[in-house]
Amino acid sequence: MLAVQQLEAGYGESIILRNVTLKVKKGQVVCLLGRNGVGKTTLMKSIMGLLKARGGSVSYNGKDLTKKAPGLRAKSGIGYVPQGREIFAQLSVYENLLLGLEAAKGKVNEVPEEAIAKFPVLPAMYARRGGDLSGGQQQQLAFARALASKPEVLLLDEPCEGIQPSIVDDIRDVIRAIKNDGKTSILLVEQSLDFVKSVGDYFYVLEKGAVAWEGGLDALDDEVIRKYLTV
Amino acid sequence: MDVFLLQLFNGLSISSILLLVALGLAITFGLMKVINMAHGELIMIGAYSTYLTQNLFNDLMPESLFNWYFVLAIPVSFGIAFVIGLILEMSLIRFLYGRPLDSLLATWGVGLVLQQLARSIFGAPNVAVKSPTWLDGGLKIMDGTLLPYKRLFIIALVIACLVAMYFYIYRSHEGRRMRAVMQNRDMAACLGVSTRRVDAMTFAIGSGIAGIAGCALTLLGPIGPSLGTYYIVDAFMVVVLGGVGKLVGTVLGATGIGMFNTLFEYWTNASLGKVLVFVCIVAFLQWRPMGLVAMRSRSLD
Repeated sequence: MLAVQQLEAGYGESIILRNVTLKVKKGQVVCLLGRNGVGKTTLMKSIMGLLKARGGSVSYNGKDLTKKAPGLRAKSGIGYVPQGREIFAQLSVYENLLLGLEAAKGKVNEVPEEAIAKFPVLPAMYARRGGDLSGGQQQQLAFARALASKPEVLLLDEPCEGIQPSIVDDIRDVIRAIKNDGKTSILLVEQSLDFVKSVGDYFYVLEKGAVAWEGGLDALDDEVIRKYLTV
Repeated sequence: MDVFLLQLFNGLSISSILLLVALGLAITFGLMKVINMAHGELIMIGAYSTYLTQNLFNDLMPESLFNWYFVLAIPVSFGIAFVIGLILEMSLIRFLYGRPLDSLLATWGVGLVLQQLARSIFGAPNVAVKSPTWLDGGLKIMDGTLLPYKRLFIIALVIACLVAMYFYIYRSHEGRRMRAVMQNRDMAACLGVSTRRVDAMTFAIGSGIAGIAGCALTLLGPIGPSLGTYYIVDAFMVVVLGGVGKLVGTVLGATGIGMFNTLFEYWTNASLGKVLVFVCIVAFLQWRPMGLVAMRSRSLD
């Protein structure tokens, strides 16, 4: 279980996150909602360790990760698909996938079948440079790269941003498949309400860097949406 | 005909020396973006390592084996420069990533310290390294045209270094991590790559290759504590002209400068030739500021 307790984080002088507490239980798909600029990506970065926490803690399965470097968090089972995908543009698609193995347990030299099987377009593009792929292809590559190390928690930061509808459907199917497997839990940031409602188990709404609302799918009604999410 | 051949060979020879001197910098400056002014001193360290190896052979080995000291001197130079580069990275450079001006000043200071250190240990006058006898003489291709073995050996050494570097950077696991870290440090860290380890190794390897360059320079003449200062400008010129971050660019940059240098010197004289080369480089960089081989891709940045 991934647990964030009273987390505070920010850039430079400004504090973005105040007192954020959330939990991702095993096998759950937890969605993080909120308008632009409320700190969703900042929270993802703090969980991954790219941003140092000013206060509070991040722990996984009872192990405190607050002071740990991103690499150690990856090795303890957290996979990350960042906003903007962050593919290594000069490296080939296959090399990008191999880098996903860095955090894998034990010595693995081949990308596991199940990571690739979910994205059948990738093997045909192994030799191409990551930077030459289209946005949607890069997103699938980033997804597969994160899955290569068989993470137990997957952080997905806006996986459908700027992507054609058919690939959005593919990504939805992948998330559902992961959920049905029950081995990997997911923390998902996504703007599209339809999308999160179709995959999510539990929802957190951020406002001004703090958790303003949380609840299950049934509780996420029009009033909550009007209050926290409509622009 | 033989004049043309000889000039072509001279050009190649100068290119190979420039390339060898710049290869290490292509890693520390080209890939890591550290303006490493101590690069010349790492070359100097390599040269003195060769000198030391020679002296050890003189003292300890039978005379018949002396000629083989040079074979050992190459890995020794690499090793000593590698270790010094590693120490330098861990004690200083790692605090200065992303701060080009600070790293420029600090590495320049380190360079001065290393020069003085060499002066204190080996003395200020130049010392001579006796090249092995199997590198004396040359390959006679026609009357009056002799290609010295030393020059040929340096060309071969550069090719060997290039091939080794190519395989390390583009074919090995370590090299893949290295390229990932240099392109996108944060993401590489998030995937579980130890960026600290990669930084230290990369800098040390760049330093080690500078050491090999120093070893090769002992074939060309006596060596002294300020040996590196003669080559540091050329090395930066090659890397900048070639285009930062690409091995192919460094090769093209060195070949270009070496060939044009020879050509202009043949047409005019040594000092005017050098000036003309500089003018050409400045003009070229005005036209293409990214250098010969610029990274182009549909990356999203």
